[in-house]
Amino acid sequence: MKALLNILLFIFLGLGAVYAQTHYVGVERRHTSLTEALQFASTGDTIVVEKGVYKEGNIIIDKPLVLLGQDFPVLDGENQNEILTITADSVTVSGFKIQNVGVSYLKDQAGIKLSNSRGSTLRGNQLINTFFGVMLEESVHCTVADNEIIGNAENEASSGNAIHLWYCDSITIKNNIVKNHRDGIYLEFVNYSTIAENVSEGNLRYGLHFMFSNHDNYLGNTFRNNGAGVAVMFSKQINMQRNVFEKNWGSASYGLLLKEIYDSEITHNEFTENTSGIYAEGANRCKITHNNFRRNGWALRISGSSDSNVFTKNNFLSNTFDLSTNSQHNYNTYESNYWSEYSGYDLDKNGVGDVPYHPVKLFSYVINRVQPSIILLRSLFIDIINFAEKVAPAITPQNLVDPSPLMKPVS
Amino acid sequence: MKNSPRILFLIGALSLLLLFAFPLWQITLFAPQYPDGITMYIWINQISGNSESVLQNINILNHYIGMKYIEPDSIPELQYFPYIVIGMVVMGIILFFVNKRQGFVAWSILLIILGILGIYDFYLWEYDYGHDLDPNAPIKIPGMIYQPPLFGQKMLLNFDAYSYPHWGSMFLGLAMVLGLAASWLKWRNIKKKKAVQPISIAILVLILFINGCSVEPQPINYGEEQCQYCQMTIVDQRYGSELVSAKGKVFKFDAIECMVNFYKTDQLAHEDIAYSLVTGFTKPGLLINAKEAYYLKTDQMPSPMGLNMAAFQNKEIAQQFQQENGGELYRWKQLNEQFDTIWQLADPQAYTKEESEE
Repeated sequence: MKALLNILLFIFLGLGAVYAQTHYVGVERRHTSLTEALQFASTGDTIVVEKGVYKEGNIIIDKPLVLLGQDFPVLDGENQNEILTITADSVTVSGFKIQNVGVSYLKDQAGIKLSNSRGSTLRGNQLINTFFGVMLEESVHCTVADNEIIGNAENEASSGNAIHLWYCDSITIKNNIVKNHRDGIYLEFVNYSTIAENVSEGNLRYGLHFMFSNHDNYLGNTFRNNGAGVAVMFSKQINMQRNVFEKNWGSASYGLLLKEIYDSEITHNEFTENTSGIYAEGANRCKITHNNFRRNGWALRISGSSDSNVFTKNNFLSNTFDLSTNSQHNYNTYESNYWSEYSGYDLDKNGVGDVPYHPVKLFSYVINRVQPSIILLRSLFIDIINFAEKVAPAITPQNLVDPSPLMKPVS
Repeated sequence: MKNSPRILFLIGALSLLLLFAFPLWQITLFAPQYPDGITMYIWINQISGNSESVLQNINILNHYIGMKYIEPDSIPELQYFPYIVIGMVVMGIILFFVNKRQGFVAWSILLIILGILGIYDFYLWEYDYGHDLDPNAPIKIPGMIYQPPLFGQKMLLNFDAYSYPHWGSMFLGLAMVLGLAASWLKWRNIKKKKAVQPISIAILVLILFINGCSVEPQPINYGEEQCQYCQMTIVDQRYGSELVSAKGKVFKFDAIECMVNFYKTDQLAHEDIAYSLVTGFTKPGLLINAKEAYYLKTDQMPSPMGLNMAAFQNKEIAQQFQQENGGELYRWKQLNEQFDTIWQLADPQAYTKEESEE
């Protein structure tokens, strides 16, 4: 019986292979345009597009197909149209160079738009000067990988997002390079998705931006020179690991901005040379462990509305301020971190300092109240009041203390 | 302190250079179609507007009533006035070295005469533009003249015109005051008096000038400024909103929903709000009066903070978008009264809440 099934299966698969045809598009081919080939293709076929420049306006793909570009054929929207609009399931687009999408304030036009699609893949394309690069609406189980999406740097203010997801589920965004857009990667109402190993730089607003999204992971990405690195807002259960947040300088600039976020994990990340490493407002029940904060203005700025977060096993290395808060109360836990500013001793040689460490300096509290007072930074006067506060704490939160500061950095 | 009068005089002469950095006069027109007003700046060497197309807009309006086009190139004064100003500065510097009281007095009086002549010239131009109308104009009102006021407020048809001196005139005035003060001190100095007070008074006057504040909407600096309510950088030019308090403090938002949410926090007393402004969806980057706008809420048009609401400057456009995208239309009053209900129905966080209740 099983053998018979196998034979039947083999026949069906074989038939399938016979019926899936390959169509070629090129200057000397039967089809000289992709639009034409799409009319002739049937479900499951492959269309191979040869090198050349194709100016065909808006191309709509409404059946499951595989589109392969040979030597990066160019699809040009001539600054008028959206280029590829995909409304079918299981479409693959790979190896194209897609350029010049029209800027429109009335419609969000994209280089490639997936609308109500399931199981589609966009891999290894180059998108240049596209208003929105890749846009997914109401789509599930899709993959966006190995693409390079470069916006028009001169005109960032009127550009959209490089990768824009809206009401999606189970999407993988991996190993893309996104530059010079409004947000590098933007997710609104996106659940159970993974954003991994992307490089997002030079974007006007955020490298990566979560709005109203839950159960997502972002792992091993690099966020550099963006308006701010990553913003996670109104979201739950976001897992952030092994990312690099660097060089986000500016008065309103952060490595990571957390606003109204719950039950998330921030581990093994590198925060280097940001105005604020993490800025948190309304962050609750998050675990922040094994991160390195190096040479930031503020490593952490945690507002009074943040509660039940745990900070442990982090290294705070040469930051101007390790921690600042705007409240006299503290509902978060700080323990077993390494603070390079710690000047206590360890007589029993157990690797833990014998004197608790108060990471909030009086001066950082003063700056929060009176911004211009930053001009007094590193003056003797400030050292004296900080010392006085350390000896007899009066203003800084009493219970904001790391009772077991480590003597050596966590490796 | 012996040198103080001449230094005061030099400051006065050099402050004339600021005429190239600030306009002399401003004329602002308010009308239903321009609730925030359009402003024209008269400089010593050019005529500009508070945004790029202002002069063009004013010219379009003027053409209906048959007024001549305002062509900065056709006004010769703009060409030769700068030379007069530079001449006065150079003369001032020379007199500073000469350091003679008669020189200071003469220079100050000359400057005052030139200032009066300049204002008279400005009045003549206004008179010329307001009276010399094209007989074939589309809109003709017998006996109507369109001369903007020299100083103060005046209604011209449905336009409310305000004309006031701007910084440039202040600095011109400062130059006259300092010139006269220096002449007087010079005369006093013969009696060996210290001039610390007048100098500090002069500096104080300067500071007061510079710190004058105005209650005016500010354009939103997209990509730079943060939303007052949600901390996000404001980038989408179709949704920027703004509240201006009676004291001239400006609050900027990235979306209508953020503005209304902030409005509801009562951080700013409602009676202290001088302007509520939103952006017309079809005119990105341009602020319009929120109280007169039409609001469309439709899930076909996602807005920055999840309410999916856009504003339109008039009913026709709003209805057109409603036909294309569905959704509900609101006016400002309804929007504020029903906001909580609307926000709850739209509540983007409900999506997150359901999740956490699993």
